[in-house]
Amino acid sequence: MGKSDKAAASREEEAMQLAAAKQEYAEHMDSLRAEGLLDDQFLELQQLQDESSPDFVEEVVLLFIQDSGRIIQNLTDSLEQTPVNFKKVDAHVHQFKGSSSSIGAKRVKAVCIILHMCCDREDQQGCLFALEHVKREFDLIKGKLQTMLKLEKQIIALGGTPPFEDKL
Amino acid sequence: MKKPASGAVLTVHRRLMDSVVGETTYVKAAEDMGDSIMPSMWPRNMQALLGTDRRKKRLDPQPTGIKWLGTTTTSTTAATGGVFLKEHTFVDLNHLQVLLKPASSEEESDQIFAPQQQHSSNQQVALRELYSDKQAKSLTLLQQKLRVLNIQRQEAERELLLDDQALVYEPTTVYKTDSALQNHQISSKTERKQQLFQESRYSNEEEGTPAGSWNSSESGAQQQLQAVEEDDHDKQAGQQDWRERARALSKLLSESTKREAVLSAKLEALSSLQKRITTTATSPPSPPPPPSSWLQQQPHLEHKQLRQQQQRDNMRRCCDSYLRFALRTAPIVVGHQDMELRYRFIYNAFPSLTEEEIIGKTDMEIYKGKGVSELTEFKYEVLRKGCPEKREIEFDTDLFGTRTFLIAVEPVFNLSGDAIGINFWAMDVTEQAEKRDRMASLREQVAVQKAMETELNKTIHITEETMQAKEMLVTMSHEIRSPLSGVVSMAEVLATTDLDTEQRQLVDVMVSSGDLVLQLINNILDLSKVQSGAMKFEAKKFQLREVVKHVLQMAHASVKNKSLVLEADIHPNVPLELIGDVLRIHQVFINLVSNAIKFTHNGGVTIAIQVVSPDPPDLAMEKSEEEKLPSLLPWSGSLTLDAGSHKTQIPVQPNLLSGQKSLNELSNPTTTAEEVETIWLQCDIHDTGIGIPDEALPTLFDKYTQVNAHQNYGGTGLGLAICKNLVELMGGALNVTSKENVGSTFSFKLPLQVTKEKDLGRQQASKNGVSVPVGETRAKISTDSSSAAPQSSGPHRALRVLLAEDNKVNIMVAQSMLKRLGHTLEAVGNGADVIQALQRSSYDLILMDIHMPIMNGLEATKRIRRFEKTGSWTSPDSLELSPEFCISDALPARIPIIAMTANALHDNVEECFRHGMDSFIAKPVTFTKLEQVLKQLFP
Repeated sequence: MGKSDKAAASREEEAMQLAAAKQEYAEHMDSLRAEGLLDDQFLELQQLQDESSPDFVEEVVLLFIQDSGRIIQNLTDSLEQTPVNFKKVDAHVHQFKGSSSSIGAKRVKAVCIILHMCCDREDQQGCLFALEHVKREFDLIKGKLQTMLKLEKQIIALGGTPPFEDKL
Repeated sequence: MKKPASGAVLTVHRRLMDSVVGETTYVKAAEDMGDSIMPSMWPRNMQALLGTDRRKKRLDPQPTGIKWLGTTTTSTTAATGGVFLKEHTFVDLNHLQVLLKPASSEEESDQIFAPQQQHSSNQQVALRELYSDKQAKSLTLLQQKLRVLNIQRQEAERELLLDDQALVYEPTTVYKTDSALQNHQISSKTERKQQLFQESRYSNEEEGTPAGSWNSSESGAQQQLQAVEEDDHDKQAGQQDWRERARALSKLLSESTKREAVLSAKLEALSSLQKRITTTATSPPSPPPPPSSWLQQQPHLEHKQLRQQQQRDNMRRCCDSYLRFALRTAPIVVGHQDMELRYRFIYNAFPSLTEEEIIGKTDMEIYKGKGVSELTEFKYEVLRKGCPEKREIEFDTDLFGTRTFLIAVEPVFNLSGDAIGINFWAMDVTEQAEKRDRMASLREQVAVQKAMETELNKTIHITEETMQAKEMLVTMSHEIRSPLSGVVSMAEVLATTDLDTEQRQLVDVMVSSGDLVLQLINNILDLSKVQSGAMKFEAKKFQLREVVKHVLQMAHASVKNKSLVLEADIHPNVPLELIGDVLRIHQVFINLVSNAIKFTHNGGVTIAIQVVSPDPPDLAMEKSEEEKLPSLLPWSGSLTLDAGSHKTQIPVQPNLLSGQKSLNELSNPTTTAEEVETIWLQCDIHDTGIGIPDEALPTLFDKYTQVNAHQNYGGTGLGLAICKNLVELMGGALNVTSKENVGSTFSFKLPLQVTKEKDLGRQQASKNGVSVPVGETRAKISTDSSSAAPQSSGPHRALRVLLAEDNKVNIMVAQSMLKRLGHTLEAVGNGADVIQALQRSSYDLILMDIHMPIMNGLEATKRIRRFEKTGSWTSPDSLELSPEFCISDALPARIPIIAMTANALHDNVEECFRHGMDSFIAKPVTFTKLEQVLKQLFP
């Protein structure tokens, strides 16, 4: 009985932990949307995850983080060159804008637009300024997304399904 | 001398004239001309018609009883014949005498010979001259004749003289005995000839006895002949013959002289006649003009004066002849009327009128109708004013119908300056007036057209300007939109940073203002699209219930700090699937619902949809079928979303996934035989908001109109205008009913098409996948839709998709989506790789990013299309193509290419289609977009 009680208690505890994790996850996601860090496009991604691709969201997010890091490095390098090849810079910006748009990183996309406009004007100072913003936004969303992935892993570890899958 | 037989009317016929002046050539010629070319004043057929009537007898010559102012009967009658050649010419001679009377006592004789009569007051003189000219002319003709005869006589005498000479010279020995005589004869040969000529002439003129004159000259000749004979009578027998000839010639000569004498007598008679005429006409009479200068020996001075006078006469006669000649066919009516406007003379009167009907009558008495009184008035006016005038008068009379005459009227004065009548000339100008009127009306038309043209040009110009302004607005809006969204985004970013309260408030204003401007710009773009007609409406199958569900979900998300109930009530008679432009219908719903939410603080917003009449009969049947199966119908109740719980997120994807089911069904080959019919959908969006005051209703749908502009409800004032335009463009109508503080209902009716067949089967099939039973929770919807998702790939053919995209994240997302749709994907990084991949393998579809390194999507598409056309990849400007590759088989099928672009602006899309792309997806790619596009291309 005790054993089963213990097991039950443990299950209850796990359930509570799971619920807490889910709660934390939900709050985290709400804050991401509320702060305009993510938009509906991210929900698209979550929707695409199913049995056939159980880690889809994680894969995409990690790819985004990795790829974006590379792009930011390229951008930084390009803008340090003299003279600045704005076409090249713009190509990188376009890439970054595309990725952030696909993943729903709304604010990154917004600063990318500003960076793109600075490129159009061939405004190196503006570009550098905007790049700083891009970096900051990217770091911000990167941290949030990593937190999100960590929370998801917790939930799964606690025996839950990926939270967004039963969201509706 | 005058014989005023009352009513003595002179009717003249041209034949009268022939008796006297028939020999004259030019008058005769004019006569002949006149016979062949009749005056065109009156209608020809009218004259023909009158040929047999009572007037015919009047046309016959009436030589007896004709008096011309009491002068010698025969000659004057003949002379006047030349003046009035017309048949339809009548004259009242009594009145003419009245006219002439005052003049004959006062006028000076020299006025007769005045070359030109300047004033109309001298008509009497003119008339008299006309008459005397007539006689002068015949006199001249006689004189000419006489001259001819004289010349003939001279010829004859000359021949006679030659005969004499021949007699003198012929015998060689004749003059031996009488040489003195012979010498005399030779030396005075020419002298004798002259003597002979003169002798003959003088005898003719002076002695007045031609026979005597002839005798004397003949005896002179005979004396000479006898003298010759005596000298030589026994030597030359041949002389007898010459004598015979001389005698014959002498005889001729005497005959000629006789004729001359007769003509001289005639001439004498004529000159005395002329004298008498002059005497009658003038007082005191001037010395009678001698008939000709060569008939009488006159002193030199007198002779010269006479010649000058004669020249003037000749000229006047000539002019008069010409005048008559010209007047013969003139299409004019000439007349004289007395003070009471009674006709006293008319030339070329209307053919049907007899003289009794005209002379002594007024216009009013002769014919009736429009214009007659005007004519009379006009004539009186001229009489009153005393100066000539012209006027065009339109007639519509019983006599000659509708005609327009140009009438010149001139007053006639006596010598004391009082008007005693009028002369008038009338010419038919009906055709000219008509032409002129036509011209005027044409000119008017032209002017009107020109004015219209100018107006149109102006309008076109304005329209063009407006269009340019609109285009400008659209372009500007496009240009503004992307930087503005940057600004707004940055402001949003700024709002997340550490700010104090004041800063946060400022940023909030920034964001909300920016949002408003963005909204405005989007609305402007929408509106311009709607109004320019550039908006195209698709006819695609869609599920109205899904649309409404999505609208409610979106509306729910926009509700802030308000507790509202959003409801949708879709009547069972609304078919599951409709055909129309889902995006536009969605837009209308969203606009109206968010508008309703904006102005509603308590209560809720309800969407009610039902099918209304005019119901096609088929649909009525269908309806009854549906009623039998109420439980099978999806969404046959209301979906209630509790907007109060603001924190709850409603994911959007169930919508699209559940919609996918029906799309797959659409592609089901078993539902091919389709028949379409139109139904009318009544949609009401009712709210319990603040309502709209009655006075604001008429302008509610105007652009930039906001009823409560002073209250801060935000918005651009374009939403309702866009809705109305959209609904109307789709063939429907949008109305509103409202009560202040109670609520408003926006209603629109839309004609939508529906497929008739297999409705029942489809409803059953749709039951499992799509239907959301009445009152389901949101969780239930989610479960429902996720279970529906895997089924979606079932009926689809698995497509081999080639993705050209250089962004790894994008590739990954797209791959996942395509996998979910049951397709396989191969990704390449640029346009050149696309072409290489196509050379290696074949694909069903290409998803092409526009913005790629090495070769962009547009260029790649262009090359692919060229290859499909020509079968060859090589082209002058191709660089990175494998040269060994060449398709030798039949040309490849056209591969569908879908553009993926981050700038889904009009121009970019245009460019995509121009380069041969089939469709496009605006980035970021979403499941719904991808699915829709695929459905389009692979139905």
